Amino acid sequence: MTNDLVEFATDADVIFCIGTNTSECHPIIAMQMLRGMKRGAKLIVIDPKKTDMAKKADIFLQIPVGANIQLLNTIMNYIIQNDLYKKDFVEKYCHGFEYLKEAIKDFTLERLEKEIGADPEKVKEIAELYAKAPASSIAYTMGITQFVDGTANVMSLSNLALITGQIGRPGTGINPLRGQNNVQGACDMGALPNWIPAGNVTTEYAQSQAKKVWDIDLNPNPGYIMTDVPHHIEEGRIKLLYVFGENPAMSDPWTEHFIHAVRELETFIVQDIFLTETAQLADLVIPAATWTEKEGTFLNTSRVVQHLAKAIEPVAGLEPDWKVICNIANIMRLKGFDFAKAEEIWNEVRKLAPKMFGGISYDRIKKEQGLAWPCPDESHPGTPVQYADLKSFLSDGKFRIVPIGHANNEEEREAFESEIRKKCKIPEDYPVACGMPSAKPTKVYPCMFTTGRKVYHYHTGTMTRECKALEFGADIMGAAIEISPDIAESQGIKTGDYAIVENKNGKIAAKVFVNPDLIEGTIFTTFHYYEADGNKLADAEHKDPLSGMNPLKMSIAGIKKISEEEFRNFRIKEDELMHPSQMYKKVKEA
Amino acid sequence: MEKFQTVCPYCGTGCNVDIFVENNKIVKAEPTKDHPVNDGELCLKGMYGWEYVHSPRRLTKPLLRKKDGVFSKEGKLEEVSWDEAYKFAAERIQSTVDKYNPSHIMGFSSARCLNEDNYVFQKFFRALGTNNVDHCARL
Repeated sequence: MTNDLVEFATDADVIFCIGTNTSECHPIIAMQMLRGMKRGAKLIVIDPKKTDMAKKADIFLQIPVGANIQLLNTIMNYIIQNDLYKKDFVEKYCHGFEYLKEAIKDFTLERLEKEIGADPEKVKEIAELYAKAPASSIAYTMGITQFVDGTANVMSLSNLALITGQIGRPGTGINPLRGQNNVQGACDMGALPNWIPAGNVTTEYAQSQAKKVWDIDLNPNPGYIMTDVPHHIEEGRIKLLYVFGENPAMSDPWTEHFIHAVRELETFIVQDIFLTETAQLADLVIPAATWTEKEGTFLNTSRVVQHLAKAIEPVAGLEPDWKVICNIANIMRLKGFDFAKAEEIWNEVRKLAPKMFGGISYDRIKKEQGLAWPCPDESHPGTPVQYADLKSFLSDGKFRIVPIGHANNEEEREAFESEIRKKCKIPEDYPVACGMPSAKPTKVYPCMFTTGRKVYHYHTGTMTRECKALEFGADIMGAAIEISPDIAESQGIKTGDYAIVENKNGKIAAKVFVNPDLIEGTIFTTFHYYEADGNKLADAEHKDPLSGMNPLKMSIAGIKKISEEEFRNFRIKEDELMHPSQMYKKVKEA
Repeated sequence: MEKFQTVCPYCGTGCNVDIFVENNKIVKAEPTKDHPVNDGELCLKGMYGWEYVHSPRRLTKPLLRKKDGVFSKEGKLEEVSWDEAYKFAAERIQSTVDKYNPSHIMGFSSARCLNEDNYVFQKFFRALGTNNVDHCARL
């Protein structure tokens, strides 16, 4: 996030939520937003699902899955055409305003209404509210990123904030609500194929810091991205895979592809706290200590480094993940893995990336309840609001507004981008992007299929399904397939019936819940349950060209009603497929 | 009953949680009072999502896929000693790097684990000469 999450409560005048089911996925951030509303802030929610927050919003606009760029371009075009943009900000601090203006001039309210059925009055109201407020804040999650045009979606949001100058002050900014406790930290710590904590592996600075602090000649070639790994395994380019704290056999799109590919590895090592669906496929399973059994730090969505105390001695004398990795490194006689405690590791991070973390010590974060990076020295107060000096990270310090078009399909992407370049006279070294749907319903698969979370469970359920209050809590449906009322009617399916949902990647079966909050033609399910894991059906073929993200939020599928007996047989087979290990059967009985 | 301040292990909000411990067992969780992030509130997962720590199904010993007492891809997972597990991991990683090159190994790190865990994991792969490390936040 460019800003701190508490600013939703204390500073934002308008909160613009798009592609986030905040009260299910980030309940405490939703609480901070509602506190903001009590103070007088207006809430805008844009989503294909009429979420809890949508019901509480001042304006809710329901849009089809994957229609973000059409909508955002229309909002921006309206803002520009009606002189609601911040001329002085754009002139002084940004590049590319004229490119954007030209690229989106055909995105009219009338066209948007025709294409996605959005009420022009509502879109106008959203544009005016966001642009005119003293402080407007954008919040988004996977309803923006999990598409083939995910990075273009994010750039669109950045364009919106830039042309209205809604950045660099409390209560403004572009704020991805991180889905996992330490997404920010894992990225900042260099768990990425092109990044170490000192920056991109191709840069001189990262190279020299790696030499100075690690005494390592850092490989300057970025590594493989995760979404390409099953393919690289099949092609023989990866022979050993080491996974820790992750369950890709359930969390990867088109799970069957991953499950099939790892069988071809020469060595598959999994380090985890339970015998997960992924661990059951491993050659070597290494147990590790859990949260509360180890000391360390997480980085939250507001870029704040926070301290975790060790509360209990680990079961069976298990060691933290970092220690397990050090033990292996030390057998291999690698240098630089002789850490005795977590704080020593953190202090090495501070040396490697001093501009970001130099001033963030264990002592300070314990005393000051966390500190936001960048924080270069011990007297620096941390940086809850980024870009307060209105300078970007680019060499000339200016922000770039990226013109973004919208094509009908992926094949048109390149032609479309070069057309925008020509039409708007954009030089070759300036970025342009393009949005497009990656799937459209067909006769065989007539429904949109999308995924999300429920408040009770977390991701693949490895931890939360071991907590009775969550697994057996009062109003939990368990694994379920949610369908919009029009599908229920056309297929003759009622709440409580069983159904099978299928596409070319896989199939799942579960009890049906007809959900009037879903936009028409849509099937929704979670990825919490191995019994009916939505990721089985997710599209792993198409990717965002910059991030490699698959369109997990946008697949197509067909649905048909099945009998209870058919359902029971399906469930037994599914259990066997996901849990092949004899050991698991023993463990499960424990 | 002893109290320890920690951070919730689920979503990215970073709510602070006070964990209460008796005889090395967690007995309850409460929101840390007056903390800026969650200001005395927690969601269901923050309040009740700690029970897994004491689950009898936790892994406690390393498992190696074996047939007739030796490692085999066709074997079944069997409990082994820590020495055997560590030796197996170190030897297989080394031999893959030697037989092919460092780009034939790949690591998936974890957005659920500590900064310190992630840092050491990526450093390990970089020390072996490859940038083949990524994690679930790609998705």
